Amino acid sequence: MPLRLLVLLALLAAAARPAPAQAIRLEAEATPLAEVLLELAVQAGVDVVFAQDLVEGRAVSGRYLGDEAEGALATVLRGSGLRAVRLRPGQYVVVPEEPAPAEERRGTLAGSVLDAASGEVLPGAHVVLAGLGLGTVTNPAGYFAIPRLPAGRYLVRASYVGYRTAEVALAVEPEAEGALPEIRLAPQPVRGADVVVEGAEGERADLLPVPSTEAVGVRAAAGLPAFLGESDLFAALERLPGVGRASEGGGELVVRGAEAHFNRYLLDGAPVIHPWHTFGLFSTFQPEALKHVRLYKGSLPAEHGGGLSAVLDVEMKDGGGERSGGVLALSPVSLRGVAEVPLGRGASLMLTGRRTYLDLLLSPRLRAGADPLSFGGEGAGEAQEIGYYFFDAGAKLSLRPAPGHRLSLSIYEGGDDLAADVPFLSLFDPAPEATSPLGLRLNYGWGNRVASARYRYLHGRELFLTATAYGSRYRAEERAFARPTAAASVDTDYRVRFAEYGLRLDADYYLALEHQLRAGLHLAGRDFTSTLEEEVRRVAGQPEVRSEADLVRALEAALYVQDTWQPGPRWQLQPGLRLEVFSLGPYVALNPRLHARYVLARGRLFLRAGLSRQTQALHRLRDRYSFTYDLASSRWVPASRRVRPAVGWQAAAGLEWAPAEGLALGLDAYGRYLTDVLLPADEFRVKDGIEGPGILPGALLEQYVAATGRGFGLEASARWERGPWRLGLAYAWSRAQERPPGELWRRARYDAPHALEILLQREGRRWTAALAIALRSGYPVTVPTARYSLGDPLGDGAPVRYLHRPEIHNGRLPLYARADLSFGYGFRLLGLDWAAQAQAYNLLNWRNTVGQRFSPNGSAVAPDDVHGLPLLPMISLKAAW
Amino acid sequence: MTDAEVVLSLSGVPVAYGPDPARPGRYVPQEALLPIPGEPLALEVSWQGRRATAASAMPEAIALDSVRLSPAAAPVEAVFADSLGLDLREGWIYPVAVALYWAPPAEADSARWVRARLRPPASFPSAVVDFLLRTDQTLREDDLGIQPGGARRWSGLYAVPVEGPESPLPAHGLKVYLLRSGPDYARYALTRTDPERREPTGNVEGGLGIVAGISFDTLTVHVGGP
Repeated sequence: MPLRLLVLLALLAAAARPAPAQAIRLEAEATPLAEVLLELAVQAGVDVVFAQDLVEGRAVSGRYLGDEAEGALATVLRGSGLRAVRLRPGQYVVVPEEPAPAEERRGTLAGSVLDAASGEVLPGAHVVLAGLGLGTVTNPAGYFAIPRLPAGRYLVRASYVGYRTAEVALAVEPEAEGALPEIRLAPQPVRGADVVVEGAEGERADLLPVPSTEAVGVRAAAGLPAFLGESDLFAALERLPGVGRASEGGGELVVRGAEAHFNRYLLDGAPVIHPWHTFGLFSTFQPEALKHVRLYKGSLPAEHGGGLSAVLDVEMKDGGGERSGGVLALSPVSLRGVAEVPLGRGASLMLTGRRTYLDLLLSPRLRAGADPLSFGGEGAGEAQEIGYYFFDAGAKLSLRPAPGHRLSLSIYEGGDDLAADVPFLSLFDPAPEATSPLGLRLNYGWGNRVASARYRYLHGRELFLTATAYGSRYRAEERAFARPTAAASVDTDYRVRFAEYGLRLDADYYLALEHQLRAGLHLAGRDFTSTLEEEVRRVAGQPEVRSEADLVRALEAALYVQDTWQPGPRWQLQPGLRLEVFSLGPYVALNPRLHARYVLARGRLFLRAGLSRQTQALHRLRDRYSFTYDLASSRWVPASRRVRPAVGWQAAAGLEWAPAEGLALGLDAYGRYLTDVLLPADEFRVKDGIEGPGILPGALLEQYVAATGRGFGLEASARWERGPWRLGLAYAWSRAQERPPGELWRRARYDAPHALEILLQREGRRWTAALAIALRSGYPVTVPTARYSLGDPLGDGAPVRYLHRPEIHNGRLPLYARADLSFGYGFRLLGLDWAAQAQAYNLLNWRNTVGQRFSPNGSAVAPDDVHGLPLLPMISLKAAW
Repeated sequence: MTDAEVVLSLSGVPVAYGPDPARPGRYVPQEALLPIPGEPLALEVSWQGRRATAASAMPEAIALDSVRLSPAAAPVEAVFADSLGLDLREGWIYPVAVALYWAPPAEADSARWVRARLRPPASFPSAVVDFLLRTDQTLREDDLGIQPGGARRWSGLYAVPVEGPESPLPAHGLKVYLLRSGPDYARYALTRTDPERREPTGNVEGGLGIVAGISFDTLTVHVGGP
């Protein structure tokens, strides 16, 4: 493969060579200098950039006939007090003549891009030198630098998703010191008849060369229809081409048909191991608390590892700004809030929280995760009570102790708690007359705790260092006690812990105009702990006791280097290499990455392509036998001698076109090939009893086999914005397949060949509306092809009927269709900005088929459809100050 | 179909099977079978150019040495449910623990499996309690270990519903099965219990089903009563 990579690099380098010299014929007679320079640029096929105030009022006369751009420039500028300096092949900048040599009069154009309203830094903002086709993207600290520019003034254009584009003139001075310039972008008003929507270039024509990368506007996400009216970042993500959800109402994120556990989620640089509430219905990410979201759908830059399917990189708000503000919102599901508090002297604080509240109203005895198992006989068994809630709490403190230094501390904790005290008799009679000791009590809890500290330091203007230390922990507890007879009981206590601690060091070095280097080191330690204490009493007397505990420790080290190379005005190449070492095994992975961006028409038409190899050392599994463990939680097993890391090759190419203001079109093609992904050894195996092989990793891995997977597809998107209207269309044709060892390729679980998303939004001064329509092929289903009977030598003589299912996923559910609608009304009351929103999930009440069951005992074998959710109307209220 | 050609080979000796006129589709041996423990067996079925084959081996013979029953001293309260779980009520049951004993073969063999089954006169009407009963189990024979007397032991549990807390254990007959076979049969037995969701794992090439040599013993035990 390295040979193939070298050939590709050579081809790209060859393609990046300057075009042959062209004949230049210039004639001027008191012609404005700007006009002549533009004509020269066109004839010579070069870029010539100049500050308007330099050439204004100047005129030239004369003639040039030749084929050298530099000669033509020298002729045109002779006697003007100006001269042209070559930046790189095919690019020139006009500057005043200075006595010192040009090479000594160069400097770095550097600064930060901020949100004008909140003072938040904007990572991933585009910074372009207008007219020069030269640009960059702000780093995670909102910093940008374009080194080795000739001294002078430059017109700089900065843009970011959801913000108005700004143009400012910035000066480049050699060895400049002092405060960095800040470019402040004003958010586009969410409401207002006079909304000025900038061209969509900033949203699709990302300056990064990595294809299939989506920057998600978090402000717009808050207004989209969401399940049960609960504002959720994933309601916006699932509208992107190639992105879907695993199940009705929500479910985990499915990117390009790959399994959800191939996604990696990062919050302020720290992994969030399982970012879900309510078994995947809601994510832990609230849009109001976020400032930056980037989704890599496959191909990854060298700084990221893991995540064979996708990486979601999320940054929380800093809480900056000139005055404090916040949001408080009430939905049928939860009460949530975000507060942003400037603390002065560059310090700021952001606080966020959310909690569901129905348990407080309906199950006061079990509220707040009270443990029904600790009640003993007191109060237990009287009536059925089920309490459930989830919560999120987060905070971020940002400090600027000195110019060039920035420190941020982030914490997040969220979790779910389910407690139930269910006398069996109450299942159909919530308040039975008699009390009974026979019943089921359980207490399940799971959640994440994440903390990260990030220190950023700007050394000079060319070296930017970032150090991130983090800890992330997922925990799950499943405690259950069931007593079906007075003499028999099952008492289980199952616990899972997965903790990751890590240190990241990243350095950006702005080496030259053509080269921006990024290198880094990532060390991570992972602890996997699981314990099971189980006591099964079948009859009075000695119980069957099972006690198992497992602790696995694994280390991972990664070293990466990446060059963002701009050999010409149209090309940007990003070769990278990532070396990963996994301690268990051990395994060493050398993962090359190569991405390229080519400008077909400046500001209008871009081509991006990429190829990357990725390794994921974490496998997520679940026991498939016993009801007494792994029921609500998942298990993660690291690569070891028993199981190899999963490896993926990703290739993608994309075209982005902005044919008119407010209109952006995109087309992406991709392919991936995965090896050593785990599939169930027995697809039909489901939990069906108490007994199982246990919780040790070997027992889990016995239930799976190492398989290969592949996916390929085409994605087309269109986005149109005009005034308060926004229309988005996303269509994906895709295939996702898997192949267990010794078998043929078959459809993967989330293979959906066709998917269409339509989103129409209007954001007026007071009224907002959004209509989201989702149409996609049904997910695969396994359909029986024959029915037969088998006798049992130990049976009662009657043969048992079975259905023959020779192939997995040989059928497909019918088309899935859903329309969601939301209406919002904004008003001002009591000094607050209020927004009331009404939402309808499945507006047209389509009876989607989300599953099928087949019975062997009917007169004919016909599917018994399982339908999705009906129309669910919801209202919510939000206040902001 | 009644015109298939069915041949079973025992230790390489073919035994022809013919259609059973009383039960169309079923085939019976045309001569006496003399299976020998440890010897291979193969089945071949041909019909209109189609062919299905399977191979297995005869296990060692198995025989129940003894059956011990331990009924509860008194009825215990239990939750009763119909098969759909739609009708729940509380009642009384006698749990009865059962232990089966048999002699193991001389040599250990991890490919040897046993299946034990208890068949009380009526199935117990509670899916909830069924989780804690053990009336049918297939497991590797070596995993059962050897008892001090040199025998294998399997423990099961079934229940008998009664009227109330004072009711005596009613007299009833319990049929006990003990079967020995190889991995093919074990795979079938472990996957045959959920016909609504799956089919059992078979071993027939070109057809469906299971062909396995088995040996089993059965016993009817009279329990309770005066």
